Amino acid sequence: MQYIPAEFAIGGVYIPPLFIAGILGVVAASVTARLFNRYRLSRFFFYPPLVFVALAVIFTGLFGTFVVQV
Amino acid sequence: MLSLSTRAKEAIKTGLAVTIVYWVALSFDWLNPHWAVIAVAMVSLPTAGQSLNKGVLRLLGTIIGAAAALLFLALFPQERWAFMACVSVYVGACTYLMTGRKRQYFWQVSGFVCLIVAVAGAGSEAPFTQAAVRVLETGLGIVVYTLVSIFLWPQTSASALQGVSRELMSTQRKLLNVILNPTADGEEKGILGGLSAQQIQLIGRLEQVLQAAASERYEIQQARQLWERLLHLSTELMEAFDGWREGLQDTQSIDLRKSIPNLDKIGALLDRRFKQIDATLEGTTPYAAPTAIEVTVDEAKLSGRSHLERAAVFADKTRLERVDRLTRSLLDCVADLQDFGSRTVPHDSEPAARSEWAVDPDRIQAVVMVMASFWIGFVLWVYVNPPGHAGFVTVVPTVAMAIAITPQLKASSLLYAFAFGSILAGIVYVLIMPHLSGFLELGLMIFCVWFLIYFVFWKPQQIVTRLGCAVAIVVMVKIESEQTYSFAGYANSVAFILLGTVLLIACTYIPVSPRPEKAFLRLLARYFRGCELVVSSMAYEAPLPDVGTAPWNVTYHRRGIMELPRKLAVWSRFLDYRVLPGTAADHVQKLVVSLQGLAYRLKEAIEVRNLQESSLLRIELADELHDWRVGIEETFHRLVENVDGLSPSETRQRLETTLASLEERINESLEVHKGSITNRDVATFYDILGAYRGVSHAIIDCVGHADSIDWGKWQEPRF
Repeated sequence: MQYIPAEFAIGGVYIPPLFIAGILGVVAASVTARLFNRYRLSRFFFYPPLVFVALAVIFTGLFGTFVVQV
Repeated sequence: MLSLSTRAKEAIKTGLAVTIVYWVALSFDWLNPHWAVIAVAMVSLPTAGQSLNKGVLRLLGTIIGAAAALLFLALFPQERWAFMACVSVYVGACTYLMTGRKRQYFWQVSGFVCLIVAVAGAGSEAPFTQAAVRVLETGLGIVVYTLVSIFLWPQTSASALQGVSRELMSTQRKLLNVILNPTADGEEKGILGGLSAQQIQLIGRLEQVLQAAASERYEIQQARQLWERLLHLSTELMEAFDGWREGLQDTQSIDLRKSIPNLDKIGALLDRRFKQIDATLEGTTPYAAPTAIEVTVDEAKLSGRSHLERAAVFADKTRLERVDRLTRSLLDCVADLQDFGSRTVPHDSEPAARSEWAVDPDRIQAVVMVMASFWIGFVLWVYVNPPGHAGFVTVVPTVAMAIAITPQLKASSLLYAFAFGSILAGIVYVLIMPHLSGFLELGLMIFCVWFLIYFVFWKPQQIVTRLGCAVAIVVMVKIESEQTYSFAGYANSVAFILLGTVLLIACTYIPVSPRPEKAFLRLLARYFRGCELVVSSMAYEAPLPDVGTAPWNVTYHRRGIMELPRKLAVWSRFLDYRVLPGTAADHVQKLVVSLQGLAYRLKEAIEVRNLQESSLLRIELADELHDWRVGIEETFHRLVENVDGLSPSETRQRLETTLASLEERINESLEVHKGSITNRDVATFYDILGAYRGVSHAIIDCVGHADSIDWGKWQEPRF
C-alpha cells in the first residue's frame, strides 16, 4: 500500500512533515558540526559552511525517510 | 519620596511612548500601527538629542525610501523581475553607503523602507497609501518619543558636551606629560596604553555627543563648525601622540634633556597651554593669544651619536613643533567657541583631509551579503512560499543590513532574542489579549510588556536581545483596530522567524566566513599587502604620487593601513580564545598596537619621502635607500603569504644590517661632500633617516609580536 504523508497536528495547527524533518536535520547537522570542531576534524574540509549545508540536507533526507516519513 | 533608577525611568518612557503611539494609531484607524511602534523602539536612546538626531535621520530615510519604492512601482508595474532587480540595486547602493562614515542610519532606513513599501505596495491596490502611512507612522513614533523624553525626566546631551571635551583635553594633557617624562619605564608605558585607549573612546564620545547636542540646542548647531574643528584638532593631536608613543624606544638610549636643552620649559609651556584650554572651555579665563614655542637641538651634545640616533632626536623635534602648532590652534578654537574676542587665524598648517574615493572590500562584502539574502528570500517566496511569505524579502534583508553595519554581531545570537520574544509574544497573544476589552486594559498590558523588555534588557550590550524581543512582539501580536486571533497565524510567525534566522545565518557566510579569526586573518593580510604597495610607491625612480592623483590602489591602501589596525582591534574583542589554543588575548592586543605604530611610521615616511627629491645626500645614497625599500617590500610580501613565515631574530638582523650599511654610507658621503652640504640638507636628511629607522623598528616589533601567536589554529577551517 502506498504511504500518504500525514501532517503533525499541534493545537489545531497542521505542520508539514518536511518542516519537522528539516528542523531535525538542521539540529543533527549542528551537533555533528560541533563534534567535528571539537575533535578538529573540520580541518579536513575545504569549506566547512558548505559541508554544513550538505549535512543538513543528508540528515533531513534520512529523517524524512526513516523517522518522520515525508 | 520614591526615587527611580535611570533604568526604570528609561523603561517607563519607552513603555509610555509605545502606549500613546498605539492609542493614536488605533484611534485614527491607521493601517499597520506597529510601524509607529518600531520607530519608537529604534529611536529610544538615553538623551533627547540622540533620539531626535536618530529620529530625523529615520524620518528622512523613510521619505526617500518610500519615494524610491513608489518610483520603481510606477516604472515596472507588471514586470516583477525588472522591478525586483531595481529594488535590489537600490538596496545594494544603500548598503554600500550605510557602511561608510556619514549618515549611516539614513541610508540604512532608506534601503529597508524601500523594500518594505515596494513589497507592501506591490501586493496592495493603493501603494501610495502604504507609503504615506509608513511616513506618517514613523513621524508619529519619533514625535511621541521625543516629546516624552523632553517632558519626562529629560536628559540632554548639551550639558555633556563641555564635560566630554574637558575630559578629552585633560587626558591629552596627561598623555603629553607621560610622553615627555624621560624616566618612562615599562610601567609608564602601560599607563600610556590606557590613556591612549581612553583618548580614542573620548573622541568617539565627543563626536556622538556633538551630533546629539546640535539637534537639541540652536546655539550649538550654530557653533557646530567650531566644535567639529575642535574634534578634528583633537584627532590630529591623538595621531601625533600615538606616533610619538611608538617612537619612544628610538630615543631610549639618548638623554633628550641634553639634546633639547629647553625640553623642560617646552613641557611646562605645553602643560600650561592645556590648562588654559581647559579654563577657556570652562569660561573662566579670558583669551590670551598663544605664542609659538621654539624647539632647539643642541648639535654639540649629539657629536658622539650615530646618525640614526641624531635622526631620532630630530624626529622628536618635529613632533614637538607639531604638538605646539596643534595646541595653539586648539586654544584659539575654544576661545572662538566661548566668543572671546574676534575669530582667530588657524596656526595649524595641517591640511584638511581630502576626500579620497576608493572601493572598500569590506563594504562590497556587506553589499553581496545583503543582496544574496534579498535574492534567496525572493526565490524562496516565489517558488516555495514558506510561512512568512513576503517577510523573506523584507524582514530578512532588513536584519541582514543591520548585521552588515556590525559584522562582528553573531547572527545566531538573534535566534535567542527572537526565541525569547516569540515566547513572550505567545503568552501575551494567546493567554492575555483575548481577555482584554477596551483600550484602557490593552494600554496597561502594552505598557507593562514594553516596560518589562526595556527594564530587563537595559544594558547597552543587550541591545540585540532588546530589539529582537521588541520586533518579535510587534510582528507577532500585531495589534489592530479590529483585533483577530489565530493560533495558526502565531505558529506561522514562529516558523517564519525560525526559517528566516536560519537563512540569515547562512547568508552571513556569503561571500566570506564571518568567524572573527578568519576576518582578522583577512584584514591582517590586507594590511601587509597595503604596506607592501605603499612602500613600493615610495620608490625614487618615479615621483611620489600626490594623495589626490595617486592610483586608486595606492590611495586605498594608504588610507587602509591607517584604518585597518582599528578594525583589527574591534575584531580582536570578539575572538573566541577557547578555540585558539596557543593564543593569549594580550599577545593579540600587543600585535594590534604594533600594527598601529607601523601605520604611523609609514605615514611619517610618506610625508618625508619627497623632502629629499633634490637633496645631494639622496642622490649619493640612492642604492642604499633602494636596497632598504626592496628589503622592506620583501618582508611585507612574506608576511602577506604567511604571517608566521618570518623569524624575529632573522628579520631584526637583516633590517639592522641594512640600516648599518646606510649609516656607513652616510659617513662616507658626509666626508666626501663636507663643504657642499648645507645644514638644511642634513636636517632634512635626518628627518628621512628617522622615518626609515622608525619603519624598520616597527616591522621588527610587529614580527616579534606575530611570532608569539600560534597562527596554525587560526588558519584551520572550522564550521
